[in-house]
Parts: sequence; structure tokens; C-alpha cells
Amino acid sequence: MSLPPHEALARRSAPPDRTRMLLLPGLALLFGVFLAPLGITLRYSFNRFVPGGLQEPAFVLDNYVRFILDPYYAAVLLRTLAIGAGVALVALLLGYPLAYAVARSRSRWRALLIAATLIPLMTSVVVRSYGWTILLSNSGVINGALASLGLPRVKLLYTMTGVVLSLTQVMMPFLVLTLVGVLQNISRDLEDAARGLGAGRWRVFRDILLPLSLPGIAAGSFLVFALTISAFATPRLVGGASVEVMATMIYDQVLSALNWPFASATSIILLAIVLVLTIVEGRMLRTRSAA
Amino acid sequence: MMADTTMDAPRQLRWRCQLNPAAWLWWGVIGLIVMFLLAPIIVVVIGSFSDQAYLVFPPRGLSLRWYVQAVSSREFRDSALISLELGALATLISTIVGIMAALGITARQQPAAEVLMGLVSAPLLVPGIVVGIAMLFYFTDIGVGSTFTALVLAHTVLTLPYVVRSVLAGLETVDRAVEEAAQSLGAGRFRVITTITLPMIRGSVLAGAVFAFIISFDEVVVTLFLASPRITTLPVRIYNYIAYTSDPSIAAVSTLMIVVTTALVLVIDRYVGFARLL
Repeated sequence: MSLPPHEALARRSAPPDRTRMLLLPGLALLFGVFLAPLGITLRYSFNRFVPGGLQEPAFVLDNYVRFILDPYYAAVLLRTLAIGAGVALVALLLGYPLAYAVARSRSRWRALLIAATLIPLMTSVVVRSYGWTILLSNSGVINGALASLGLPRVKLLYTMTGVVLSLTQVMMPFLVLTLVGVLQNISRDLEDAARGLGAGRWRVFRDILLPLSLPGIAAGSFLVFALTISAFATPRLVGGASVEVMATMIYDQVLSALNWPFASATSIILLAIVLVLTIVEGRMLRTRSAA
Repeated sequence: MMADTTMDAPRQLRWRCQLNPAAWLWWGVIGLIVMFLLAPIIVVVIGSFSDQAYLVFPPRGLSLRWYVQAVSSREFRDSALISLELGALATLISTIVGIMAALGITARQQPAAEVLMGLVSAPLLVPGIVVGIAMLFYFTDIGVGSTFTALVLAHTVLTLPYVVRSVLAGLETVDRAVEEAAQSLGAGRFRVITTITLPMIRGSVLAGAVFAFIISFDEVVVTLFLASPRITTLPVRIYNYIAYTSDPSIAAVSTLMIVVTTALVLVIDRYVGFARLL
């Protein structure tokens, strides 16, 4: 491909390259304040814990072995993954119709629906979790409504159900935004044509929308899953001590047990899981753009 | 699903009749989903106007007493100030660094640019809890400890991806010919950037900066590890309060936070448009 004349000229006459200098502050920050801390965490994960809140430099796998062999930690990991799967599923069931509504509506409604998605997303997760404790508590909004209907109260705060429900609300906007991007690219004409040929709404969804949006569904669900298993504030505030997940366990190991080596190893395990998921998600989105 | 404004009256009427009943059901479901998304925010906002000593929903009577209490609380005032200072400083640094990084990445394919491009989104992927303990270990190790400096550095790294992404998206829309025209008329590289490129992408820079501020203003997990009793941000203050008290002054502070972030989201919509975010 040949360049237009002015561009070829500009390239040839460009002054010696100093653009590298522009990259330096960013690189310094990411290496100095992001990679270096992660490096220290990786290093600590091989240290030996000295009861009483100290650690001694070592190069042992004790912390990883402890995580794998103790069934308690396996249970925490399984619970975390189960919450991730539950949240991804519920978020998909609720997020898909909303994303479709955003993608297919116009002007005023579209802006309103997007605002309804973005404002929760931009509200601090602490504030939203606080809202959920008001909704879910034994004397809260949901139980109040149940009681006024003459129904028995349901324990929701400090339960898995409560955590899944609130994390779904916290994470769903990410899924909706991913799906809107995918659904917008599916031509409306396809749907109209199918309907014109006599297909019902359900068939249009099953035979046209669903297959065409599958890469977006997969990518968005993986994203929500990865974000959910990383979540800390919501499981801690809504789940309390009874719903221990990876993130809350890491927090307690650092600040209560003061076992930095074990906390580091657990962090590295969580990070590894999230990185694998992110790579898989990236592959899925690339498949989409290639298709 | 929407009526065209260009429709004539009879058609519009027919369209309205068609809206029944499947469409009503559809929009009912969408309405419930939206309610689900907004529910925790709505209960906090409405609950903050309660006149009871503990949060009941719906409130029995309305009052502003919890706002008065929140605003007159020294702890909340100090935290609000720290949150604003921290957000402003982190946003300023990450916007400058982010613009430079985006310009450097766009300017030329080179190994350093590839490295930076690959690294810059990493803070979004790594779980906040992991970043939090990693930074606690690191800042303790290098003797910075839990200080305001540590918070500024941490928040700068966490907000940088948003600025870089936004500015990169803006740079994609810039017509290179305009920059080259200025260059061929004798403008130096720095002058081209400050007088031609930056003004053309000011919307993207603004969106990136506003995003960065929101992220910093809302951040809780990493901050939890770096905050000290004296230097605590608003979300961390709220987090610590929820565990111990249930008086609605937290709801009042939370509502003020919601107002700030919602206003900023609307600023993005006003100057850049939501479409850019999708």
C-alpha cells in the first residue's frame, strides 16, 4: 500500500524520534507502583510464616500446599466460584432483555435506559452494598413487603442468596454494556425478515439473536464471572462472616491472622484464575470481531 | 419499539394499539429489571430523609436531620475533603501521564509502546483485593507506609487505564493531515500537540478525566489497605460505619456521593455522549 504524498513526506522529514520520552512516565508508574508490588506479593508467597505475625525469607511452597490440602480453603474457593457462576447466570437472564431494549430503542428511551445502567455502575460499590443490606435485612424492605402480604420472613442478609442477588446488581451493568455492543451489530432487518416469514418472537430469538450474540454472551459472562470472584466489599458487607469468599479470606489473613505469606499465595492463586479467564474472554471477543 | 416522531396521527394510533398486550408485558419486564438495578440506590436516597434514629424503609416521617448530622460530623467532613483532594490529584497526574502515554503509543510502533499498551489495562484485570495487599506490602517495604502519597500513587495507577483508553479512542478520530499541515507550516512537535491535537480530542480527555475522578472517588478495596485512621476516604469511612452503626447519617453521606457521581455521569453525557461509552 503506498502512502499519500503528504504522508510519505511527513514520514521522511519527521524529526528524530523523541516520542519514546512520552512513554516514560506511564512505564515508570506501572512498573514502580503496579508490577513491583505484585512482584513482592509473588515473592512473599514463598516465604515461611512465623506465628505472631512475622515471616522469614524462604523459598518454600508451604503456603500453596496448605491452600490445596486444607479442605476449608477448597470450600472457600468452591463457594467463590459458585457465587461467580450464579451471578453470571442471573446477570445474563436479566441483562439480556435490558441490553436488547437498549440496542433496539431510540432517542429518549435509549438515553434513559443507558442512564439506568450507568448510574448504578458509577455509584460506589460500598453505597450499593449498603443499599442491599437495607433491602435484605430481616426487618428490611423485602421482608417488610413479604410480611405485609402475610408471607413468612426469609433470611437473606448474610446468606449466599443475598450475596448472589446483590453482586448481580453490582456486576450486571458490565454484561449489559458488552451485550449492547454485540446486539447493535445484529441488523434489525434479519429479525424483520424472519418475522415477515412467519417466525414468532421466540423463534426469532432462538434461531437468530441467540446464535449471533453468543460470542458477546460468552465474553460478557466471563467478564462478570471474573469480576465477581474478585469482589470484596459486597460479599463482606452483605455476606458477613457467614459467606467467606476468596477476597474476604485474603483480607482476614492480612489484617487479622497477619499471615502475609499465606495471604500472598492465596492472592496469586486468585490472580492466576482471573488471568486465565481474561485470556479466554479476550479470545472470545476476538472471534467475534473476526466473524 | 419507539414511535417515530414523523408518524402521522392514524399510524401512531395503530402503533399504540399494537403495543398491547405482549409489548406491555415486555416493557413491564424491562421496567422491573431497571427497578432491580436502581433499587439499592433508591432505598439509600429515600432512607436518608427518614426522621427515625435507625433506617426504616419506607420512612415514617421526613426530615433533614441526618444531613445536618452528616455535614456537622468532623469525621465525614475530613473524609470528604480527603476524597476530593485525592481524586483531584490522582486525576490530574493520571490525565497528564495518560495523555503522554496515549500520544506515545499512537506515534510509532516500537517495543516500549507495545509494552505500555499491554500493561496499561492490567490494573483493571487484577482483583482489587490483590492490588490492595500488594500495595500495602510494597509501600510498607519501601518505607512510604500508609500515607497520602501512597494513596495518590495507588489511585493514579488505578485511574490511568481509563484516561489512556479514552484518549486513544479520541486520537483515532484525529485527522492526521491537519497535524501534518501544521508541521509543514513550521510548527514544532510540541506546538502541534498543544495547539492542534489536544484541542481536537478535548472531549475524550475530559471523559477520561471525569472517569478517572469517579473511579478514584468510589474506590474502596485498595484504599482500605492504605488508609489510616487519620487519612480515610469517604467510601472507606462509610464501609467502616456500616459494620458498627445503622443510623441514617450514612445514608445521607451515601446520597451526597450518589449526587456527585450522577452529576459527573451526566457531564460525560452532555459533553461526550453515552454513545462513546458503548
